[in-house]
Amino acid sequence: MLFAGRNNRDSSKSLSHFARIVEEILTALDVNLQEARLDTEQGYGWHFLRGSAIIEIYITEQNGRGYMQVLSPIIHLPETGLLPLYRRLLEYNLQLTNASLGVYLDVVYVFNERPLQGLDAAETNTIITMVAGYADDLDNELLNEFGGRLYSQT
Amino acid sequence: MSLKTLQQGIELIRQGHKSEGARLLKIALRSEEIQGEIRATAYLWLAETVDETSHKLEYYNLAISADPNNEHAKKRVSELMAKNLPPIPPPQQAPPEIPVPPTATPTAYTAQSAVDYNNLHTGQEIHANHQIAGIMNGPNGIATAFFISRNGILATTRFAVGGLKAVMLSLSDGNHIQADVVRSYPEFDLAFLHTNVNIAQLLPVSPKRQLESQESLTAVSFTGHTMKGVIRPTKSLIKDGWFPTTISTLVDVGGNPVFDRNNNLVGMLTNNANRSSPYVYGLSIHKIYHLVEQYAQEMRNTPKTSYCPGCGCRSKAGGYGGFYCEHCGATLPEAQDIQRSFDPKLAGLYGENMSRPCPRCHTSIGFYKGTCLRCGYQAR
Repeated sequence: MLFAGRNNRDSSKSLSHFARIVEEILTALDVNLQEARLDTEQGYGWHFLRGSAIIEIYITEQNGRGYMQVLSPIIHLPETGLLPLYRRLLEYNLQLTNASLGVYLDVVYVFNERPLQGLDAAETNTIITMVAGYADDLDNELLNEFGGRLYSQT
Repeated sequence: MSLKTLQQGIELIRQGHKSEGARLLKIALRSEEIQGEIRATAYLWLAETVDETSHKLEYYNLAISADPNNEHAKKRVSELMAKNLPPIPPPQQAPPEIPVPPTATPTAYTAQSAVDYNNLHTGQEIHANHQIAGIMNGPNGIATAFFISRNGILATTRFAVGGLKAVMLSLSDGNHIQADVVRSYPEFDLAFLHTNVNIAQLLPVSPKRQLESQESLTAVSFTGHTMKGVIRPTKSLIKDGWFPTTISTLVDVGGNPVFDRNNNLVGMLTNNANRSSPYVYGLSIHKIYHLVEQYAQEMRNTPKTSYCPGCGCRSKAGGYGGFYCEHCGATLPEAQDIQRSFDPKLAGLYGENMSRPCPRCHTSIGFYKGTCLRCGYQAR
């Protein structure tokens, strides 16, 4: 889990239940589950491509609560022009629904995290679709204006 | 003891013994006694002992951290950054003429205001005189503004104009004119508007820089409604330029001139209150005139600037072909609807090429509290 900051506790009640929901949605999105599954230290993880964006999904448990985290690394930060870029990211943060933009090390992410409690398949699908959509739209837009490098390109 | 060490260090640098002077200054700076302006002075002298631009800039930034209002440090940072800029391209068209406010500091006018604001009852309407105008299309509602220079500069609140770059003004003769927002100061909730209106006589200004507790106040809206109160006694520390009032209900969203019992202008009413009381604060007229002087100075020093509604500053970026304010990073109004890209040659304008390189990502973006602003590498 990329941004884990909580203390881990060992227990998992229904993570597998939510993992099944995620896999059903990914199957409906034509994602190859065998290729998508990630090895994680705890919980479950998947990654797949959506347009030019990489999407990662994690189902984890922290402090006794389960969480679903959907994130997409979109660009590596450029070497100049960070002030206007950071400002633009904050401006976008006010406009995005169900997703946020953030920076970890030198990579810009589109990000959503939600407790598993009350989560159903429809909402899971909405979150995955929105994060993937934002990532696919924003990566090229930010790259064209501020430079840097697409995360999915090496 | 530390102060003495610091003085010795400065003296040695003056005599040309830079390394020994720098050593003493660094020893003095270890002491917590050396704070604020003195600490900033020490950093400025340390900057004189190094030759590399990036090292100088670091010391100047440390000076600004120690004393955020230190004009010497800001000026030197500005000069350093200007050296790294490409030459300004010739303008495609003549730049718009930007007004320069009067340089004279306000004095108490002998003539009294035409209106005796203090003999009006709260809520009573009067004929607003021509020195006061209304802002009709502000983002937060109708507001008041008043002329502070004879060549058409008005003061109002930043809250009244928000992120607009121009507003519609209603004058007392019924005319509506457009006013450009030319500078604003979010930290003082102050904005300056420019019009082509010339004013024969300004509102008479109180010569008193400190208002006494319980002194009576009358604030006036452009519609002529008055709000009465006094200087509110308080044990709280009031920031420079602000004064507390007992006024709690505004008739518009602010920007009202505030008069003392002699009908002299003492400040501007804002709609800022603290969390524990509904009473609003005013901004001293002397602070307003100080800031308009500062604005005039900016315009004289760097005339080719444009207003950034994002932060209220005057941005130089447009003059260099840039699209983003160098102070806050906002896209400038003139660049909103065009194809944009960041020109790495302008990195100096944003202070991005003068820091020591980050050991991890090798960029010279800079550090904040020891952390690389690009990759998060922690130097300490």
